Amino acid sequence: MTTTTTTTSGATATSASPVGATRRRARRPVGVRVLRYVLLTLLAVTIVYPLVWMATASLRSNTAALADPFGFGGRWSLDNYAYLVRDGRMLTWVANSVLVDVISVALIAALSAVAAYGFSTFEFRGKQVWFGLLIVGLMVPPQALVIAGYRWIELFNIQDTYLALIVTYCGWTPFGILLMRNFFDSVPKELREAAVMDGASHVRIFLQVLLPLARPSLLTVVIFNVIWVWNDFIYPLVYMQSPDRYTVPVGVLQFAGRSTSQVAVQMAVLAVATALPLLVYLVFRKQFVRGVLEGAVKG
Amino acid sequence: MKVARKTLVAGAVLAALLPAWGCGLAAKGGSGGGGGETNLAVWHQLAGSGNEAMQELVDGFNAENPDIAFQNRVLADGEADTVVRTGISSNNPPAILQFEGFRQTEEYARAGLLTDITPWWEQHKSAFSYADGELVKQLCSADGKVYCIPLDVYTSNVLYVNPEVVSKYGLTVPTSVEDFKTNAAKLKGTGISAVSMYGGDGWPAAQWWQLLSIQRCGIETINKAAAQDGAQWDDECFLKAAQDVQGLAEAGVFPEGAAGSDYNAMMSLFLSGKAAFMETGTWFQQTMAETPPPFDVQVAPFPQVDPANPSSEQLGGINEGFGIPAKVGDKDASYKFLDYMATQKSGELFSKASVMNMMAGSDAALPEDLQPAWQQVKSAFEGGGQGFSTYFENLVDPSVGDQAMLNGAQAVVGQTMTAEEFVTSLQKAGAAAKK
Amino acid sequence: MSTTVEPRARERRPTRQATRAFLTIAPGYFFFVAFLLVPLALTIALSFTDWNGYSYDQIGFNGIQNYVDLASDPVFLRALVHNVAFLAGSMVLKTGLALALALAFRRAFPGSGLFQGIFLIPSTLSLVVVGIVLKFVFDPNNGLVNPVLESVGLGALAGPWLADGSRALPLLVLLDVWVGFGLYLFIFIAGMASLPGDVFEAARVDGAGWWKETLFVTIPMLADTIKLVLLLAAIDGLKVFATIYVSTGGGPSNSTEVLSTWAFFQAFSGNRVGYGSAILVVLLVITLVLAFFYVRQGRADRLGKDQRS
Repeated sequence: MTTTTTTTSGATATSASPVGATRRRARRPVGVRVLRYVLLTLLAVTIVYPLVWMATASLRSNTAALADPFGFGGRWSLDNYAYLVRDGRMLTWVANSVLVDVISVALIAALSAVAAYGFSTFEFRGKQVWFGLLIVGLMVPPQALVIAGYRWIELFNIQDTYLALIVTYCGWTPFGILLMRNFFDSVPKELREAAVMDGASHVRIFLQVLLPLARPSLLTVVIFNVIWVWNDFIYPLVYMQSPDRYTVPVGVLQFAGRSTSQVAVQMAVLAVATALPLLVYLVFRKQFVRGVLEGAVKG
Repeated sequence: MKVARKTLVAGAVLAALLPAWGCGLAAKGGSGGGGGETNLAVWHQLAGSGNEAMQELVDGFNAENPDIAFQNRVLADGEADTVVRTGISSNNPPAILQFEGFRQTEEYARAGLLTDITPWWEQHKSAFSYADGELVKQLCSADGKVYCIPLDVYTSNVLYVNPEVVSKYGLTVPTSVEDFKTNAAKLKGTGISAVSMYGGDGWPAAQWWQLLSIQRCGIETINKAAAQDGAQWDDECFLKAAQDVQGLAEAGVFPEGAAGSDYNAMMSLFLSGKAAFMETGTWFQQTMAETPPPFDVQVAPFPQVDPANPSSEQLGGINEGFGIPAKVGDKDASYKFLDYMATQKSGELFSKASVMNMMAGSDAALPEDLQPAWQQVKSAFEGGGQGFSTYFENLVDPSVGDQAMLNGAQAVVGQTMTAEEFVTSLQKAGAAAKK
Repeated sequence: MSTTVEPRARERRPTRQATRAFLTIAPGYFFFVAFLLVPLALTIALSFTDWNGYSYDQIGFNGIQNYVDLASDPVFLRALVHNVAFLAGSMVLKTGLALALALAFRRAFPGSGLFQGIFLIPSTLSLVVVGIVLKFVFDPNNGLVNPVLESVGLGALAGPWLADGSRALPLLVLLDVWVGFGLYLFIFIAGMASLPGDVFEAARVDGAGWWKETLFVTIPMLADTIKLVLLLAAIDGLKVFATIYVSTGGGPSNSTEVLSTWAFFQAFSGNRVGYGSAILVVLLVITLVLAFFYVRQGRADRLGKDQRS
């Protein structure tokens, strides 16, 4: 459990304070501390409880879950998961989601960083316009473009393929470009100039000077996009016509069919689907925090 | 930690490989353009045990036709609209597609998106029950040609009963619509609702009004109002039906927050024993077949406004039709599939799965508890006249149906709109759409 | 092997720069243009047609008729109001909550890391998950919220949450905040971590208490980050679609309808793709206005920075 703030607030009680200065310092009054914990815990509960509920509901039978959603009655078993495995579709969907996500985000990160470098380093005619267009792109809700997008995809005859999704998600670079350009801009000019003095080409400046510093920004871009791509359901819904190409969110909708109330199985699907990004997040988080820390220490 | 560098390298490598790998990534999914140009799949919305029956049918067909491999795809409620829309107008539609029929048949046909199967129909219609009836015509015909076949048939004129709640609180199974109010009075303060009904999805609330409208107005009037020719939505009988619903809402027949939540919550409320009755279509049997309820659910006919003069006309009937999209390349397989579907044997697959269907002779295979409902369906078809009215929203433009009708009914149930306001706004929408 | 690179951007011939710029920007931009801007242009084009979405051969132009119809469409107007309300509420609450939490976390205390970790979880959840869970939890009869409220004596607040027009939209705003605040907290913490420590030293030496320090030192120094987060929140607020679509679908009776859900209905269920596109164009225009202000602000900031440095 590392925190990100120890470096900036490094000054502790041991620093000398001038005579007469109030020493209301490292400890806050008990009341405030308790209140803080209470509020934070309440907030945390609103997050943790639904997850716990989802997990427990997935371990009960459909009937019990429908009849008494928040209780604990009924037989507990892994039946729903066994059903999913036998059914097999869930595994396919997860695989699809992972495939599309990994490829798309890797591309987004690469393309964004490079393009951000371009925006940050060069001057050219109409730069503001090009950049402004990106912001426009950032604000357009992707769902709005689905009908037109589908027709477009159909022209290339790549509907119902992973490629259709990947290229579409690659269009989501504005966020990454924006974030990374802001970061590159904030890097002191001296650093770049020093590299230039050393005779570095743009490529080297980019790879060896700016990138290492950009870890937090880059990770922010990666994490955001991993989540967005994973959770997107409108594009897979429209672009993918075969069930074996569905991604997880669309698969979940499958279980919410017209005459079906397979709540517990749905919960199992959700639980599996949630567990994966959650796991990735937990692993990723430590790295990220370290990166931010290191960045802070350097800064 | 070299995540940044690794990510970029990976991205660059991928970008380089993409053209080569593109072939793999561009491979179509299973039911997206198999070998030749045809997407050999049947897309439908039967869920629960109905879907299992369809799978069996597809397997049977594939066994009999080794050179054709059909796929079964079930569309979930939340995605159906979108998927059907893009599927039917795409360049590679499924070989067989289930769509909502009625007005949709007209619209799709006029847009040239459906195959005219009139010759096939004339040859095979003897395999269907009531093939020459009004309802089937309404479902699948447009401008004198036939574009789909019926399969599953439902009735909404049923009431599902929780006998345990009924006996515990001394309720009576209603034979008259007023009985609901008496039951509600008895249940006051107990935390149990007389009727489980959540209007969040719109149609559950609208069904109540539609059921009562059929009883009060008759199907002929309804068709006229839909066409805005000879009757209007704010006519007396529709208003009375809306007032009935308003009265029920005011008497506390529906649960708290009835205007919100969704169908899943509605079923949940009923199955958890917190409501005495529930009205929904007989597709609920499929749900029960798949997920057996914790108590012995009974079925009763939906009550009448005037038990002395009962109406035999019912709401529901055939909801969907199966057709062949016009853009299917080689329709041979599609017709073969239709041939296979239009048999008693196939019908029996569905009957066993608690799906009442229109295949002649398949009703014998229906499970015991569904026979009464089937009798109801039969009496509707054979009672002279049209027998069934489909759900009204199928007959009108979405701005009238989905918006004014469903939203309005929802509001009446939630008591944020009066009956008068409802029918007035409905008529306004109907008139506007006609222009 | 490497050529000398321009020390100052402006000293090089523009064309050389433009080429390099093009090389770096083109790849990322290509996909953006092809798969975001082009469909966008198509959508704008469609907004001037009366297409019903069925056959591609039946697209007919009808000028600005769609826009004229919009002006007299009561649901559209309500949706517009909802969008603004949602935007405002979500922006203020999300940013405020994230900032407050970030400040609370500035100095470590036992468990702060754990809390931070938990708060980021909702943004990893699929909105389908969230919608389904929400409907269950807030079900007035079989749910969780009402019984809990009653048990702590707040029974008066209990009611038909998603069924009540006046409750549903605020609830959805809260839902949106719940889902998204973690990410913004994340950004604030990252921003705070890169603040130079010496200013805080100075403040402490001057004897500033926690409040003063926060108000007069921390927040002003975070101004850029705050602006960025507000922008992101505005973007998310306008973009909102899935949250509402999955939870209420715009209901009950259009009381949670926003422009994007209304457009979606028109395009996919209402058989009025042209009309739906027009609604989206309106949304786009609002977006452009916001973008305009941000870019202008950014330029002003940059000018200011250049002058200062």
